[in-house]
Amino acid sequence: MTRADSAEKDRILESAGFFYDFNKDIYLNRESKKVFSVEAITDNPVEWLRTRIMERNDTEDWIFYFNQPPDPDVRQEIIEGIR
Amino acid sequence: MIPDGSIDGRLRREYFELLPEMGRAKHHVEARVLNLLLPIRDTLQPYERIVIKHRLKECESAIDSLRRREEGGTFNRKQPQRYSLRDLPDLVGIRIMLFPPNLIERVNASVRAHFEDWRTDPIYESDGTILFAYKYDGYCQQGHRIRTEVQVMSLLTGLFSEVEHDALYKPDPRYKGVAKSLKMQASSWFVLNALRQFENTFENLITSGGTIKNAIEEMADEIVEKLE
Repeated sequence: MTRADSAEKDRILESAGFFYDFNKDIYLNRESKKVFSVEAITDNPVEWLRTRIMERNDTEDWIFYFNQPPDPDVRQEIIEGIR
Repeated sequence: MIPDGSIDGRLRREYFELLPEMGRAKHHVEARVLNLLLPIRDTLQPYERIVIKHRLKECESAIDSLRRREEGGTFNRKQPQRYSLRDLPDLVGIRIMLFPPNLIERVNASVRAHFEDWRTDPIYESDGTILFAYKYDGYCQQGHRIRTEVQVMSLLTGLFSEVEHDALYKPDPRYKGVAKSLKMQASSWFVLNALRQFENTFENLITSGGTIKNAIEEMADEIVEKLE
């Protein structure tokens, strides 16, 4: 990831209302109920991040954007930590 | 209170079981590195420096590092057998810090030749063009259960890492996650690049025939210019 890409991703996340959880190394937004892992943000292009943030979340559930989908128990523990 | 049967409790027990071996590994690698660098030390110029630091990862820091290797920084509590501190590459660490940076290639070639079968994981600037540190890890001896990591880097890069670690992350391992944020990464690269430029200026002036006094004066001018 270039420095320019990193700065752009940071700007996109911040302007979309995401904040960083430094205990879990994730970016999250309670309103849209989305969680991005640092690994997924780092490994994917800027456009991927922009598209995922724009996607609507019509469910009541949290959406996890991880490189590897988290196990249901891990997912539940992260959600409990967010609340 | 974390129950003894938890992953954390199990990992704490594992840590103290591994601790004597960690101490032996540290002495082993340190002695080897000191021995390898003796011929280079004998030829150093007065301004050239080799600083060697070693450390054993602390228990809570080791558990936290293992947890952060999981995406989402969370252990899967249903699969405790998946986790072992033996998977960490840096339970024991030796850092070789060098000034000026032109010593890095020479020292690394000497040390790396001795640990040639160790796994390599160099640290580059974000776009992969500038190398900040050589890093490799492996087992000191056959039968050892823990990996030791050797890092070779410039003195200022190493000192910055120490300051960053001691000031920000040592009080509580959880703060290590701050370093992974995009904002902190950008700030770290900025500092590391500035330090690299500072070292390179010194090195260029020394090797182009200037005196140390001139080199320091020129670096000071450069910094003042930047601040203005």
